[in-house]
Amino acid sequence: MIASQADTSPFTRTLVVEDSFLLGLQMKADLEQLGMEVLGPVPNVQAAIDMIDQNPVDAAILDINLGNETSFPVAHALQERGIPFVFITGYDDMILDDKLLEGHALFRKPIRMDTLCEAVRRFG
Amino acid sequence: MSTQFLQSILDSALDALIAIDEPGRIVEFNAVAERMFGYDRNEVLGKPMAELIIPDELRDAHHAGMNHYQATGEGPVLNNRVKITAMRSGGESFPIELYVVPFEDDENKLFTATIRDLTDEVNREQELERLLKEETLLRRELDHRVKNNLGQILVMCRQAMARSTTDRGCFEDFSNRLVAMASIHDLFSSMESDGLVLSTLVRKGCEPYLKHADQLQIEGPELRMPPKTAMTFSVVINELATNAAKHGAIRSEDGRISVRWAIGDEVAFHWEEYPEDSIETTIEQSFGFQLLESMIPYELGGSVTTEMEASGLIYRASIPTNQFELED
Repeated sequence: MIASQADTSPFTRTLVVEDSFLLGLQMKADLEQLGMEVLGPVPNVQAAIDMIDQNPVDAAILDINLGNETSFPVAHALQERGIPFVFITGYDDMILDDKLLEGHALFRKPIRMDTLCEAVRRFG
Repeated sequence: MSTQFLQSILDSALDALIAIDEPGRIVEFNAVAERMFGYDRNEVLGKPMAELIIPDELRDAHHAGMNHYQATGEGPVLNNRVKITAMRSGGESFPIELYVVPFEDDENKLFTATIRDLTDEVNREQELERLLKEETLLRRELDHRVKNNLGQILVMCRQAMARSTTDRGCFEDFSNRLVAMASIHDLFSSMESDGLVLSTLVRKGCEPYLKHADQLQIEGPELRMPPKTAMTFSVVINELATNAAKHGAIRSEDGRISVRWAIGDEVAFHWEEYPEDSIETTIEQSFGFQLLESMIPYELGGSVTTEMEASGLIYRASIPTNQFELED
C-alpha cells in the first residue's frame, strides 16, 4: 500500500516559504506533527534561496505571493535542482497565469494540512 | 509661398484651425475642422462662424466678447487655452480646447482659432473617476466582509470554548488578538491612498487597555505605512499593550507607557513602561512573547530587542524604511 509506505518513510525535509509569520508558524507545527521535517519557514525569496543552497531539501511548499515579490524565482531554483514543490495561494485564478504553475499542485488557502502533507509525501 | 502650399500646411495640422474676419465670418477652415465639425470648407467660407459651431446657449456670450474686444482691445479668451463646449453640424455639443490669437495688418483684422476635440479625453476622465469610485466601494465591501468573518470566527470559537474545559484566559488573549486585527480593517477602509499613520495605530491598539488616556504618551514624526506593515505593527502593539495591562505598568492607575519613534537610516520604534510601584516584571515565555520577538524581524526584515529593566519593559524595533513606502 502506498499509504503505509509513506507512513514509514524517513522524514521528508520540506522547505516552507510563507510571508506571514503566523501562517508559517502554524504550517511548521502542523507539518511536524504529521511527521515531516520542516526547513523554515522563511518569508522571502532571498532567505529561501539561501536555505536551498545551505541545506539538503527534499521538497518545498511555496506561498506564491510574498508581499512585495512572488516565490517564482524560488520555484525556478528548485526546478533547476530537480526538487519537487507545491504552491499555495490566497488568490484567485485571474492573477495566476505563470507558466511555472503548470504541472505543480496548487492549494488554495485556507489549506487542510493533511491534504498538503499527503501531496508532499507523494514526492518521497 | 504658393496658396496650395499654405493650404497643405493648414491641412496637415493635428488640430482644427479656423480663421474669422472682424464681423465673424469664416475665412479659413482646415481639413481637421471639416471632420471635427462635419462641414465642407467650401460650404462654410464666408458664413458667420458663431451660428455654425457655437452652441445656442453660448452664442450671446460670444457676441458680447467680440463687441467688448472691439471696443476695448481686451479679450479674456484671446491668447489663452480655454476649455469650452462647441457644436457639430448635427447640433451635437462636445467639449473642446480652444486657443484664439488676433491678427491685424493694414488690410485685415482676423482671429485664428486652434481647436482640439476633448471628447475622448473627457470620456477617459469620467471612466477613470467611475473606476476609482468603484474601487473605493469594493475596498469598503472587502474590509467589511473581512471584519464580519473575523467576528464570526470569534463567535464560533467562543461557542466551542464554552463547551470545553479550556482556560478562559487563553480565550481572552485569543479574542483580544482577533479584535485588534479586525479593528485595523476599520482604518483600512477609512484610509485613502495615503496609508495608515503610526500614531493612530498605537493609539487604537492601546486604548482598550488603558485605565485613563494620560497613561499613553506618544512622540514621533508623522509616519505613514502600507496595509501590510500596519498589520504587522498592530499585532505587535496589541501584544505590548495586553502585556502592559496584565503584567506591566498599566496594571496600576499610575503606570505610564511611552511610545516614541524616529526616522533615520531605519525607523526606530521604542516602547517603554514607567511603573510607579514595583510591579511584576516578567514576560512569560509565551506565544505573545514569540510574536513580539519574531513578527517584525520575520515580516518586515527588522530587528527587535526586548529588555526587562527594573523600571519595566523596554521594547525596541528597528525597521527598514522601505517597509513604509506607499505604493503609487
